[in-house]
Amino acid sequence: MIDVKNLEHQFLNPQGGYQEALKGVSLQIKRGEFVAIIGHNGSGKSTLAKHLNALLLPDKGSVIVNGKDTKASDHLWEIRQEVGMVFQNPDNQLIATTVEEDVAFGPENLGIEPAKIRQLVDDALKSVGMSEFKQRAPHLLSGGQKQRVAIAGVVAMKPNVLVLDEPTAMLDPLGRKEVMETVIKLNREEGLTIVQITHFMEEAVLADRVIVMEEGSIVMDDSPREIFSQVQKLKALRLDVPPMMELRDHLAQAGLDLPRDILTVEEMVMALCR
Amino acid sequence: MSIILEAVDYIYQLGSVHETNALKGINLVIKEGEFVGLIGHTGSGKSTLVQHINGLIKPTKGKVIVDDQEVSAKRGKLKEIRQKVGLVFQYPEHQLFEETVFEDIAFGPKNLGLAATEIEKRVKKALQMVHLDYEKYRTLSPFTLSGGEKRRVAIAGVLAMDPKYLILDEPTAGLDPRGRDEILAQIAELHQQGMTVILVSHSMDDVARLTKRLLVMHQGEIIYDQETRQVFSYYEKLQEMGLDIPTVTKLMHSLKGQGWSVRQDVLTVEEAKREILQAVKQAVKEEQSHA
Repeated sequence: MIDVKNLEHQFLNPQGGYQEALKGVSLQIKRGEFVAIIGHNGSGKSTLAKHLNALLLPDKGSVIVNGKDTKASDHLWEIRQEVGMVFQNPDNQLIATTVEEDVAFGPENLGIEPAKIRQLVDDALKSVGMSEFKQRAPHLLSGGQKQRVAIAGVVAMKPNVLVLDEPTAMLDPLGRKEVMETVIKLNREEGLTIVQITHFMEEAVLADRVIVMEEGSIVMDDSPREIFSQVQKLKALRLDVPPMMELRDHLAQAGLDLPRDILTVEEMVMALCR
Repeated sequence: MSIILEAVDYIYQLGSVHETNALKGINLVIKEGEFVGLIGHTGSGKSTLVQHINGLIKPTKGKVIVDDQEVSAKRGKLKEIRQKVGLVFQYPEHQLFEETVFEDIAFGPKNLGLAATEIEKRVKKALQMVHLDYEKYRTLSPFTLSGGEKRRVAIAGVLAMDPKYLILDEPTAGLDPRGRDEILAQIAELHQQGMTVILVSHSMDDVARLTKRLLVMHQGEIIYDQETRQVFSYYEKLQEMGLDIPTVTKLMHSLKGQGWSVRQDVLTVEEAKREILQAVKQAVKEEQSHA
């Protein structure tokens, strides 16, 4: 679906010099995959995400989306329709006075006929569980609801890939749960390919695959179980380790025989009660 | 010296159809030197409560007293109280506005009418408290900094007022793990140096690690005001309020349910390790004595 090859990107920094944000990143994402990207601020996560729908273009290397090179400008709009982006702050993404108008904004700009737009908007709102709010004013919704409307606005464009850049960072625990349930549903039921940047390890655990970035490079790329069982490596990168993995590490060092990939409380209870 | 709230009620948009009872009969005493956590669902009244402490909101009924001064009085000495009670809002970096880090932090002290040398001293000290190098940062524009650095500059702006009480409303929201750990470590350090701290947070793991006393708010009321450890033992009640408990505490509850004899008021990974190893040792001993 997405093929990133030796991607390099440089930014002009405020001191006037160049800063390498991506240093030769290669990555393939398959259709239907749920990929989480973790890493510190400044590690290049968001820069990479913006390359996936041609918001940024490679200085070197290439990004191919469904066979289309992002550098070839004649495909730009197709690529952006195919790869939808959702950002951190829902307040910056909502523009209309009612929820349904907001979701209709994208399809309207594609020049789709009104009856079809109605259908797209209804379907999109249904897929994020916000149908009953369609006449409401977006600014009166909770954070989680706003973010779900923002997701619906992208879903209404019928993309194949959804790229979410820290979509839950500004939400409370309930809002985070709502958004994650929506993302998982879109992945499993609608077959959308998901690329989600997050700082919350409990969200990364839900993905099929976790990519760890550090200083513009991919340093780990594996299943969440494999990634999070490498407690020492994650700590060296100063990333969070899920608490059960950390406890497992401590207990194993103290001589208890436990499987090396314990992610959840339930798994820990099962392992200890064997 | 302390912060005292006596039977505080607060009603938003009193007399309109939107009337909302945001605080109901709040009684609270926070003593100098304490580190208090405040948790609760969005809309539970946490932010409304802390805004009462430095007089940004005045109670509809009841009294708010800071160090013998009544904040809620008609002619309360608000300027003095706001200097004494530093409030760091959510996303404080949105309030940065000056051209340089120095000017931004100096804004508050300048408004106190302090001498230039004293202002410089305050800015230096505030930057030091948030571990940013004075010489390196003072001339930079705050808008060129990273998210974590911006937030530290914003906190330094509050610290430069030399407050006695520091209230932080979700100071780590939106930061990456490294930024979060740095801010929390600095808050813990400020507390060790004698600052009274009130930490409003959605992160149970953070309050479990840092605070000794925990307030739980729900629908405008303080439901629990006890030792942090004690509060997290009310697992079911907290869940009913839509709140979580630290992951290791959850594990201990599950193990207990499986018949393990472990303490349930465990808050950290280290404590959990100790409890589990002890229980395993105990089980082995019992097996041997049976054999």
